[in-house]
Amino acid sequence: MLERGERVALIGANGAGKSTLLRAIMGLLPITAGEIEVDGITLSKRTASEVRKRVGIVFQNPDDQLFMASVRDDVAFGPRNMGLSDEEVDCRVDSALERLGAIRLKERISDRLSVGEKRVVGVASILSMSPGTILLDEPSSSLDPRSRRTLIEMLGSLPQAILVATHDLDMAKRLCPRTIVLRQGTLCAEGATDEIISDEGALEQYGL
Amino acid sequence: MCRHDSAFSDAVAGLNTLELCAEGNTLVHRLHPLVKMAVTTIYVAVVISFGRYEIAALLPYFFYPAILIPLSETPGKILLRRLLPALPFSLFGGLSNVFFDHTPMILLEGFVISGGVVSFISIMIKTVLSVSAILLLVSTTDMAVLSRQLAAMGVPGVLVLQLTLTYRYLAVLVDETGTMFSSYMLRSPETRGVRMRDMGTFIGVLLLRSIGRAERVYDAMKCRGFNGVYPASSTCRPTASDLLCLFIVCGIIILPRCLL
Repeated sequence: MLERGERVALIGANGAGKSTLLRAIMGLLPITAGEIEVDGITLSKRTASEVRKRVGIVFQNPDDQLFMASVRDDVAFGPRNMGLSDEEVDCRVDSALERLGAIRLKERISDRLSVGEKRVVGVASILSMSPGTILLDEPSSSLDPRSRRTLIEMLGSLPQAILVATHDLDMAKRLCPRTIVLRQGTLCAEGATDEIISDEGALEQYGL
Repeated sequence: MCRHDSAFSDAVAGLNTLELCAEGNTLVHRLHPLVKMAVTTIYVAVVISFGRYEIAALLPYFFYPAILIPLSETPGKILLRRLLPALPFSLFGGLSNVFFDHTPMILLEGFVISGGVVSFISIMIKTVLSVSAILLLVSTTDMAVLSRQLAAMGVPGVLVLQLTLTYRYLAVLVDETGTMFSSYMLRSPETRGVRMRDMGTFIGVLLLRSIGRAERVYDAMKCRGFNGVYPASSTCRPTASDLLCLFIVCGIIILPRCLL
């Protein structure tokens, strides 16, 4: 259960199922057991598009996320698909980029951005769709310390509910008050991030 | 980094050089993209409309690249480097004319020049002029702007999306190839490139990586509401001076075609 505006870390060893869970929430994988509900909508093939309007995902590799020729077109891609007018699309693009302090990147070519800039634009491409929840898959991977700090501050300032799949325990501690631990596809621990991370014995047991 | 690895990196860096010119701010860059696309289309259409033996009539059309290269500050050397890969296709196509078309066309100092030779030269000139015009369009107009303009002109969204994605992922594919190549060369320093016995695996892995990347991109598109239809955005309209420029340049291009 993810509350409105809550920030939760999803941790676990490699292969624990963190990315798989995020992809399942987005309706990218078939669900074989249990069900996923977003704002009262039960996820199915039929409702996947509705769920995707409410939940946005930032993939691990920013090159998968940014596929248009320019930053402006990338950030506008989601709002255009929502059928918004050109004025509204432009407004959302500016607003998302300004929110993340990245308006200077608007006319840049996506391919020529640094990894840190691509990551920020990836988040902007989701923010422009105004989702209630944002899923992030390893957002701090490949980032230098400064870009990582900036990203954490930026994510911390967002009003949306956030679910972060990460190996970066420090990031989890700084950003998310609550943490869920996955092991071999099942939830094996849940609680306050400080408590979970300070229990070294348990972390060892979870393969972290 | 070994010599071949460095050469590969240089080649990769060189791929984007012409596109980087599109970030310039000359008179040609500032023209509306619709004007540049229309002029390029008309120029190419007029050039290829000449008959296969009409070499002399094509010569005035060299004015277009000759004027546009300095006006747009496009480095001629880079343009030439990007033009060369297009020539072999026409070269082999044109050569067949030399062998099959023996119609006597010109008598020069007792030598008979056949229609095949004349048409071969004509094909090569047409290729140089047409490809130069398209390269000049690319070097003065950003690909994102071109895509938006095409969509606004009513070109089917799926085609525009294909063009955009192809352009975007050529760079990613080149990066992927570069990474694999570096990794290969660092572990086989004595070789001069990928050995033939490893080529199958190399290309196979590259293909698998490309398929994986394509699937991930499609997932990212679906997550942002893509349902197979690419919605076009509106673009700003050309100004009166843009239209005036369009009519004048098109007139200059079409006039010799009508007279010659």
